[in-house]
Amino acid sequence: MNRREFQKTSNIVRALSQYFLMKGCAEVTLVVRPSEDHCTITVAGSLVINEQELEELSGWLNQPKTAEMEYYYDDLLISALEDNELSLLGLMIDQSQVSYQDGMLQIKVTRYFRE
Amino acid sequence: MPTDIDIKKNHPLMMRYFIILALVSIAIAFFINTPAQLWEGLVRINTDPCHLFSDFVAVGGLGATLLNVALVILFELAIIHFSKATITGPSLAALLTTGGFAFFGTNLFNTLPIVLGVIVYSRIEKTPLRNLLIQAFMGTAIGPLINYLAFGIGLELTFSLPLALAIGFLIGLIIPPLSSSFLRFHHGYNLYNIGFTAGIIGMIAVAVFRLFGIEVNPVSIIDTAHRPQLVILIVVISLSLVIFGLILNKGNIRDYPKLLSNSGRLLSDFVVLHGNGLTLFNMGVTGFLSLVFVLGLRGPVNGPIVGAMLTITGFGALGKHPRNIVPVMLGSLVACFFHRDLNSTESIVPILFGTTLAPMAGRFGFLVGMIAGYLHIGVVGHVLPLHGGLNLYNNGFSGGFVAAVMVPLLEAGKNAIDRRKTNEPTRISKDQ
Repeated sequence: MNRREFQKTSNIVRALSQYFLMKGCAEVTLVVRPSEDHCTITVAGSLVINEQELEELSGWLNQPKTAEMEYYYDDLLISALEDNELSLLGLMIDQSQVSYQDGMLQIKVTRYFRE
Repeated sequence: MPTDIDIKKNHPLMMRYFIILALVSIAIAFFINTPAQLWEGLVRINTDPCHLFSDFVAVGGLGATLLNVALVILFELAIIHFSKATITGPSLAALLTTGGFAFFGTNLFNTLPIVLGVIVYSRIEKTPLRNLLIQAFMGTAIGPLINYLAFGIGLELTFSLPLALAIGFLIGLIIPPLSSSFLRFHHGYNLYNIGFTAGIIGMIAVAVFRLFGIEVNPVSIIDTAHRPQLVILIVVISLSLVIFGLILNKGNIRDYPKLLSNSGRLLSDFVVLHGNGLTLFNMGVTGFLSLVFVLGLRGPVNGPIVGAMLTITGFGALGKHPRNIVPVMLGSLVACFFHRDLNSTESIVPILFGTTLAPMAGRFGFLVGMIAGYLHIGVVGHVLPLHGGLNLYNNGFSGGFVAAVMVPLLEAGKNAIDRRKTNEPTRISKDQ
């Protein structure tokens, strides 16, 4: 992982953990697995989220990856003050899985380093 | 939400739309002027100091201006093609914004060195050029600095030309890292972020000029003779976008309210969020709205005002929609009503470009949008002398300051209200 990817991964981790904390999650579990060509980040925690919010979250994270945009705008991911929208994050990741079972939300995102 | 495949599938259609737009502009140019007149006009446009406000319709004629617009758009389309980029919201915004500014400041002479600088930066950074296209295109905001150095300070051309081109190349090298960094200053609430970056560069350039005893003062060269033709141009572009959008969406605009509910804060790429069809429809509607606004004020229609309307249209793909631009425009209108001549180009241009702060209305509501628009009118006139008009996106420069001051205060106020609602203590000391 080069320096730029390291920074981007840190931004993604921060944005995801911020989302959980702002939703009032008391304990957030975070697993970051970097490898040679990609990085997988899994965040989980117990929180209350309604169906519409869940749908919105999946929509944000399922946006097509847009390398052209993230190069310029990725710093906004951590500059948002109160805004917890994750739409920018969707542009930076290749795969995402969102599951919500028994009050436990789990988000798993994968980002490949290739252009 | 559209898929990656949908967006890539529509890319050739987007390219074709802009190619047709450029070719029609060229055809009109050759219809209204002879080749000799066009050449002469184009030379005047490219060798003008071209800082704010230098209306190219007055400098080189309508035909040469349309030719200039077409050349800038075609050049950018070629860069998009060769860099293998896909047209999405930011590139739509950049194409129409730079096409609009080709009515008053952007030309191939000042575009080329900046784009070349960005290309070299992409090689140094080992990142594909397509990742830096917005900076390359919008970086031309500072184009007049190149023209002013080459043709405005009275140096010998043998010295001033290489100097200007070298400075332009250098700007291309520094625009990408600077513009990314300045996004954090206003938290993405100023849509013309590169205008803010260019304003800072212009301010430093003018400060250095002053060290050498060179003063750069804004000018006002404005065309008054082509109002009907320019109104028709905006009507045709807006209408074509509405029709093209409806065709792509098969007449379905049921999801338009969803687009209108977006705050517009960067990065609200409407193509990615809502698809090409709805985005083009929104671009056309916002373009029409700006025209109705200008005509309702019985204001002039000239190069800078057409540029402003095309910029609003372009940013209809990247954050602007009727719901978030109207409050800001009304706030600016109130400010101009009390403090300026309401029907002048100098008032209408900042009213239109003040919509750089549209996300303020989108996020914090109608009243905040109006306050932002009001403040913008005060600040925009104040910051112009800082760069002497060398930064074409002066409203982006001003908008950056307004957003940077308002956003943290509004967020703090919102936090305090939330705390009061939940009865949360304001501050907890360590020993409690």
